[in-house]
Amino acid sequence: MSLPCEMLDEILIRLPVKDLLRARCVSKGWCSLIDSTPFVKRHLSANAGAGSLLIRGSAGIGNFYLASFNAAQDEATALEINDPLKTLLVGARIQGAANGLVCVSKNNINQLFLINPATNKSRMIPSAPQEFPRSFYYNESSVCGFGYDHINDDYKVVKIADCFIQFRGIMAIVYSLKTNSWKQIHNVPSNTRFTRDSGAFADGALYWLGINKPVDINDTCCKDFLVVFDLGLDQFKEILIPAMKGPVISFSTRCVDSDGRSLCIIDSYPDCHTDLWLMNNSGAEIPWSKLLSVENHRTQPFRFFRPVYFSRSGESVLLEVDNSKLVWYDLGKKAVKNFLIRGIPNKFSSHVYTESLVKLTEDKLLQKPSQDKPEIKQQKRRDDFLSKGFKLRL
Amino acid sequence: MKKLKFIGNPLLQSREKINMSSDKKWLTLKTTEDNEEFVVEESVAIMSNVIKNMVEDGCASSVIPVPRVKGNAMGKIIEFCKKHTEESDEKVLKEFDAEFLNLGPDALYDLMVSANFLEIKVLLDSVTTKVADMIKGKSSEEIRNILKIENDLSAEEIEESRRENCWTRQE
Repeated sequence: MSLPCEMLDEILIRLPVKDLLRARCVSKGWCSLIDSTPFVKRHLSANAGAGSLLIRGSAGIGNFYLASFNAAQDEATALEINDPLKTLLVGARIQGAANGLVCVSKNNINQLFLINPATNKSRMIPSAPQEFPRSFYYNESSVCGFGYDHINDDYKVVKIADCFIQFRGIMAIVYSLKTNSWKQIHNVPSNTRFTRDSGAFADGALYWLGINKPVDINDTCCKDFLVVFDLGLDQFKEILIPAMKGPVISFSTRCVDSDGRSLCIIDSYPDCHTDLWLMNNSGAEIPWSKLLSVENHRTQPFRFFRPVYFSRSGESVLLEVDNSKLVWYDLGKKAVKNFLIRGIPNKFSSHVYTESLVKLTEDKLLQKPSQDKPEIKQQKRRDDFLSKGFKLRL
Repeated sequence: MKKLKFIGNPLLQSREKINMSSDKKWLTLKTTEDNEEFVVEESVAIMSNVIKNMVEDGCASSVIPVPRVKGNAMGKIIEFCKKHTEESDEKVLKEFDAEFLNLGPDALYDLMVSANFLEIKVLLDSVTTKVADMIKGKSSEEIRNILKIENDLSAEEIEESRRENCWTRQE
């Protein structure tokens, strides 16, 4: 029986990645179809609704696990990730997931990797240019974000540092997987501090909570805007967000998060309640809507929660509570349903990603790392900096 | 006398009576490969996008010729479409589909090709999902056996692919 091409396509896009990797051995025709870029793209978009979780144990070194889930189930089983990724991920932290790939960091975001958990492949991102400050401690102001640029069909990583030593100001650089190189972003926002969190990816852009540096000592830092990096244009901009409503006591926290598609803000008023705001699609009348507001009861106490996944139907959201459990929150019924994942430690952090066949290696020979011509490259960058009026202490 | 298949009320004998009953519209579909004719309600027939377009364009007056689809496949397709227009309960439909698609690979293949040609999305989705489920979790050898595909890969190619993805091997 020889299936016509479009029929085979329809069947194969319904298979999970594991099965497709095995199916490559069926015949030459199947192999070239599964490896082809159009198929990879179709499979990715067909699977965009299905959920997969990458879970990192919080204790100690922290192992990594994979689990698939859907809103109808109450439980799932997680499996520890296999080698070679298992060895690579020792001591790694998850920075973000986008369009089938996940970005992880090691050594305090000085080392970055892109991984595909479904195919168990990885690729190291070349080091940032020498002028970019290396972050040494966890609380140093250096953040990064990972996202997918759908305009140019490219994966990008942004690194932002608040510099004190070499010069005062914010430096931002962006890495493009397509060109396998970093470039500096020049229109960085000036009077802004970034919170420590990684950029939240949604809708072709990365979002960080911005804090205006207070003008005088009596000013409180206002957190009413987001710094947005447009991945298509490689440019920064700022957008306003609803203000935190009182009582804004000293331990109230605000952070921005996303599940790779929808962006949200979590306002936590300790011992009081936690609000979750969702950003509506561009063009909607109201830019932000309050999705839920959970009171912190004595009966069901929690310290904090973060959203992991917004269901496609818009009916429920998967929340990770206190880094120790997952619950489905039904937005209509305002009801909570536990979602048990077997096989993971008691403390963990979870991130949703899409299973995909997206390749990490280039089809042509990989570019040689820029060790051969360091002088020329350094010189070029030196010129760039001098032209901006910065003085480099070398 | 032409062989007419009535998909509808089995008590009615003639086509005139069918046409006069209520305001349901009826169409005749004729498979040109084996000259079998099927009388179906328009609401059922238009589950096929191809037929739907013909009806909307006004060229479905008398008998609609359907090439490339054999009579027995057509009969099964009409049975499927009828059930899906009548029944709205998801659970019942799921059970019906499971039973309906309990066929061998060759029959599924015919159904799939016909559903694709007639552009019946619901049926195509069901059949392709069924075939995908049949090959899920199977080794490449087993898949070749089920779908009767010839192996044209060399032993080295297969071994290399296995080595690259050895972590997916089932226990």
